[in-house]
Amino acid sequence: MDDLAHSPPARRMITNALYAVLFIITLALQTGAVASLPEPYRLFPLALVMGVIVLHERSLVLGALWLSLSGFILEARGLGDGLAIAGIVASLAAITLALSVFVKRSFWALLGVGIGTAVTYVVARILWLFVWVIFTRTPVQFGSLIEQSVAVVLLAILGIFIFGAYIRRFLRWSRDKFVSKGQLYDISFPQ
Amino acid sequence: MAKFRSTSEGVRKAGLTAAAFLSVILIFWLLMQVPAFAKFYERIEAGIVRAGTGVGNGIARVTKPEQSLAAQFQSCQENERVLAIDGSEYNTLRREVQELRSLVAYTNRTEAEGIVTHVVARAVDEDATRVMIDKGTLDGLQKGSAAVIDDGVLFGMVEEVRETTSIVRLVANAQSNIPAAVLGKRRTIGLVEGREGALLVMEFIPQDAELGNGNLVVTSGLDGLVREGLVIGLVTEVVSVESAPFQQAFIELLYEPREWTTLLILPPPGV
Repeated sequence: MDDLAHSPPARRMITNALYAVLFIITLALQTGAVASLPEPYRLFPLALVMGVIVLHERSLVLGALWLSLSGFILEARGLGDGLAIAGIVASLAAITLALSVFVKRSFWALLGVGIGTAVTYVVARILWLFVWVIFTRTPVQFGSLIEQSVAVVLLAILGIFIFGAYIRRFLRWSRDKFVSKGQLYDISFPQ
Repeated sequence: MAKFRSTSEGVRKAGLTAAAFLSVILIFWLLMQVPAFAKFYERIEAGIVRAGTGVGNGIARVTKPEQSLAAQFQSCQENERVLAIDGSEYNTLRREVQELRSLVAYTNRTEAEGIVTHVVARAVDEDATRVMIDKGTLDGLQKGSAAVIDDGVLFGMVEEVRETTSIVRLVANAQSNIPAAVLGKRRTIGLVEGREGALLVMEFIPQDAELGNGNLVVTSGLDGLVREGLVIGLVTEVVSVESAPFQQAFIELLYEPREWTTLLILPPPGV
């Protein structure tokens, strides 16, 4: 926290604003490029994976906003049902996991937060669809939904494994470049 | 006291972080309300969709070798699709000629103008049966219009219209209900509903209707929203139980929705 005090607030604000730009690009890639891929690649939860990495590497607040806003915006744009609630639940789970379970800033802790968040996200989606089916009487194939949910979790794990290290390196580089060299995290974690 | 100061400092910094992040998103949202900026952004999004679709088609080709039985079957299906579309066009034209002969006063047949649109985003939920297109109320789009691909194949219906964008609900969506007929058997009318994946079900088919595998299902135009004769799919299985009041047929789409990025929006007939 001492290092944080030396960080120029303006530079930190600019970095956070750049994260917002990255967030917008991520959503465009999720709904444009990823969603155009064949099954099962189209299920890759890019926004969720990026949100978890940002939450783990940069800031709890940014990560939580990222996860909840991505679901909210996608649902508001009409590109999915129940994504807002799932996003909020996932962000709460990610915060809890990052603060209480995977408190270290290691790659394995990131993977732990990622798996926990992805599982919570898909469970929230399934529960929401249960309620939705009851109220709207729309037929939903739960067998295939569970298969796809498993695919989402596996792809999230794969995404963190493959891209996690690169994205972490990029985020750390941007933090050192724009904020303050050596500053570990935006908000202190309990030790 | 020090702990309290540290906590309030943390809350302040969290607030600043959130404010910086949210303010950029708010500015972006406000910019999106300006049609010129929204069109510019949609052009970028359409480019991303095209790039993603190209990559996706490449992946699909790599994962499906040319010599495989699946590839050969796909090729046969492609030929069948072409023939089916030709058949649909032929029947529609023949019917139109009959109507022209019977109605002397009908000299000029007016075709409703369609609007060409591009897919700018696809749904990210499990069934992925919605797409966003780059035209809205400013371009004259109306809710309930039919979205058509290729040579008269029904892709979906416009579900929601905004100023510069619209949402198209694909035929395979579970909430989709389209009155349909079997080509060449005009009395066979049913309701096509979306099911899992690319599978559709035609419900409420009268028991006396003759229906078989390979029959082509087209729109009947009964709802007044979609013109008749648009191709929906092919019958793959007919379920007929004597005690049931209606037959049921499973229908397969003739296309992969993911592969299409340009749609023609046809307003309801008579508009």
